[in-house]
Amino acid sequence: MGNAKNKSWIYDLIAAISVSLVALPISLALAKASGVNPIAGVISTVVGGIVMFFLGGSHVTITGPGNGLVLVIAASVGSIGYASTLTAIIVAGLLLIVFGFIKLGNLSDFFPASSIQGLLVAIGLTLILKQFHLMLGMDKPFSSDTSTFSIIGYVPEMVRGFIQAPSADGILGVIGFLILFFYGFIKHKIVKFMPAPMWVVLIGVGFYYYYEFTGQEFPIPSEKLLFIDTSELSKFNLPSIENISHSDFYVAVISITLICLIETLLSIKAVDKIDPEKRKSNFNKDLKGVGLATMISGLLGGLPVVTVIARSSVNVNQGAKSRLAGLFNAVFVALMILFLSQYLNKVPTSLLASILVFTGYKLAEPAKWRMVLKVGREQFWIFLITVVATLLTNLTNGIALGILATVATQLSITKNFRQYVNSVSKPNVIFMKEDEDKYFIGVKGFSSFLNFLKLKKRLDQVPSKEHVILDFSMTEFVDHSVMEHIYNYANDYRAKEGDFEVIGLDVHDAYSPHPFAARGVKGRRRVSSKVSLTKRQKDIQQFASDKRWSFSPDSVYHMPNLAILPFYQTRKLDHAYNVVNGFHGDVEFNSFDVEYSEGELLVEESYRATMLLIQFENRHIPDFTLDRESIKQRVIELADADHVKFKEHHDFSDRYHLEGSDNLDIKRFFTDNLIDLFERNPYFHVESKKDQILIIKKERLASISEIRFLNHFAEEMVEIVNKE
Amino acid sequence: MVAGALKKENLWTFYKGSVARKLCRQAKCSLLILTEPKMEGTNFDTIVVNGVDHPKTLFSIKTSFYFAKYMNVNAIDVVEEIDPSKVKTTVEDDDTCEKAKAERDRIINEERAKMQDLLSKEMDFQLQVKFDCLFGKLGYTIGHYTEMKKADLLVVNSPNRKLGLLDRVFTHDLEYLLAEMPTNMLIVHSRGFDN
Repeated sequence: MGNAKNKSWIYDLIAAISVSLVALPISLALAKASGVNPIAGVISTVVGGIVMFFLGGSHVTITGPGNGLVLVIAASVGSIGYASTLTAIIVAGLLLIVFGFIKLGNLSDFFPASSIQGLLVAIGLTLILKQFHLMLGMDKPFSSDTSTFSIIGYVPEMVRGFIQAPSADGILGVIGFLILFFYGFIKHKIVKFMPAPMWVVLIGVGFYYYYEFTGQEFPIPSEKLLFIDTSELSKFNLPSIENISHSDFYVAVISITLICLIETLLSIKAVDKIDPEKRKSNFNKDLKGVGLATMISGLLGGLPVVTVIARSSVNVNQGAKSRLAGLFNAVFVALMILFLSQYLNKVPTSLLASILVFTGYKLAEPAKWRMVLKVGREQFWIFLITVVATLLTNLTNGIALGILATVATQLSITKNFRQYVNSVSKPNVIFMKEDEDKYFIGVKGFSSFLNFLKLKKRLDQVPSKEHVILDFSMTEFVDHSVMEHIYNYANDYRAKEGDFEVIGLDVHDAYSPHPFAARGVKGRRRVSSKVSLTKRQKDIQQFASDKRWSFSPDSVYHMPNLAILPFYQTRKLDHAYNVVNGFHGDVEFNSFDVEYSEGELLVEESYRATMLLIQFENRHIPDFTLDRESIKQRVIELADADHVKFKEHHDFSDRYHLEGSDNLDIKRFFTDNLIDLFERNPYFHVESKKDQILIIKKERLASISEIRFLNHFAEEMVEIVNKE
Repeated sequence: MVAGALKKENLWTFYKGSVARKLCRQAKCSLLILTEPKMEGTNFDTIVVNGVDHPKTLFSIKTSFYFAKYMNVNAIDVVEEIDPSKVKTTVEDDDTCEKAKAERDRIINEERAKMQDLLSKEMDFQLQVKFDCLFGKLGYTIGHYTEMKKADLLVVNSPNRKLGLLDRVFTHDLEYLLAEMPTNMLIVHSRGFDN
């Protein structure tokens, strides 16, 4: 689509509107929570957007102040003051640039997966605990030097206090939280018009003007409102070097650097996974960019700049194509702050706190704990140790203890100290090209997070559209982190239509049925799950047996065919279950329930839906996507009319938006009979890739009658297609 | 000379050295090491030979062909280990990955051509010869490869200098093989190259 490339700025512009509506409130909230002027968060967003546009190495990421930094900045401001913290931020930025130059961009892969997970949950819990009283509109019930862990003890007291004497801003805060919480469940068009955080801000503004309009006395004291001082912009908030000899200064530098590094690298990795064009980001280049942006932001009195996942995922979901979206975002945020700050100043801080409490909840939600527990009980201990250590002391200690716990666990599982040490100090990977465009990578001994970088170095040598065979047959132990990385690589290859085969793992026993579970040759147990079926499952089973098809309620995590479909290019596919499989003629039918998610953190929404995948054996199907015609698409079409229209079928063309790579081929495929079928039936989302067609009725689970209808529709379609 | 040695070793003898180890490292003649000697003699089915870019290699390959001729060997794999740092491009994103791939392919093709040239001169009888390029730590990868292919003999060049204690602590080249002993080994001492 050469045409689309020139017009991609339209997509970036549209995406940036949504992103800035999320970025503005969260930038203000994060800065406020860090104990600095709210404008500092905006400086970070604006500087980040501009610098990364010119120097970034990733494509659709958004930068700005990060969640994890709240902890370290707040602690640093408390101990050495804001001016010295700015100096620490500048030094941290410099260190990040150095890291970029010495190519430490893959460092995030060094940390054990469970302790990273623990770190994120700890950040979430800290956000909740430190913002909870603000959300309820209360004064701080604990002293500043209370460890985050002991704030847990104050929570019941805060809740009791709120219930006994709720303040107006406290009620607003709770309402804000409820809006954020339930936003994901509501699918109404008007609600979805704006992202949830902006609704929360608007409610604050509306509340104020309601009182002004009716002439009543405003019930919230002015010191509990957001205070943005735009005059701050003109005078530089100069960094100071007075505390530079203080040991707390170095603690601040190290923790800011570490958190910037981890948050940025993890976010880039996560965004690369949902980039519809599956571009691979240049992590080192991005690190240098983020470092420079952090330095500049620090010089201007702003917070460090990191790549942020929630805002980036909004960017991707809204269709951003290039770094231009980040630049637009920066411009929009700057404009809003310049022209709307008098309205923003009417927002109670409790509402901003509610945004952070909700972010914290999304980081630390029970599902995250369950996920780790599913991977294995030993992983859960590592995770728990990291969480508790971080809450009791600080982030750097938490990560360090997490690594120690992982090493200790792996030693206790493998019971071979000497070989474990050897696996770190000695090489354990070979790499060779077997045939033309076919690579063999062999691993030996223990494969764990400690030596994964060696394996990664080889894996990265191969473009993901080729064929790799990864042989684990000579390993005695493969840990959870490696399994997770390998799983991600496999997805990457699938998306680029390469081939990533993992062999030799069948001699190992997994420590749990989860695909990320660690594996050892001397495994402890193999787990098989036996569950009783629900009513719906029994119905589906009946449906399958009526058709003499097979039914399996078990979760399937590995779905290579499904993952290449356009629908899953911007969504994270988790697993499929309740699979009905069978043949209609020579066409394979697979209907299943699938769990997937869109967005991350603040904007994450997970879905369960029923879909039908049909696979043609002997017939070519052009790649296409058939979707409902939407307002957004009409706007884009004005600039970029790269879709297929059928002049003689108005009804079809009005209802559906059809696009694909080969327009002629598609026109040939959509015969009058087929279009007639679509016109006769209610709306279906249909898309195809590689001779398989995915049909979705609605983005939710289907009832048994709907499943029958879906299959009936597909059978009719197959018959029409086969007749031609 | 035929020398026997115990398989058992602890950390101390590994670093200090036993008589057998001393032989491996310092002998001024070629050396055949059998990891599991049997009365009826060992069967050599497949042989792996190093194909490192060094003048000694030619002699090692010649020796392995000579060996193959008399020991009923089916297949010989000539394996060249290449230091990955020879590929100058660092992979950072899609573009550099493609660039590194092109560079790597060029190296493989060059080495393959060189080796084919060399082999065609030396081959005087029917034998299955395969050539592979391995990227990784020199000395280690060939051992891993040998173990993977379940080869019965590994033919390598003798060390270029005497190996001492430091080489054992900072393992490299031959030391990897001596530490792991992936299979039977023939260390070929080329005449004309004095240690």
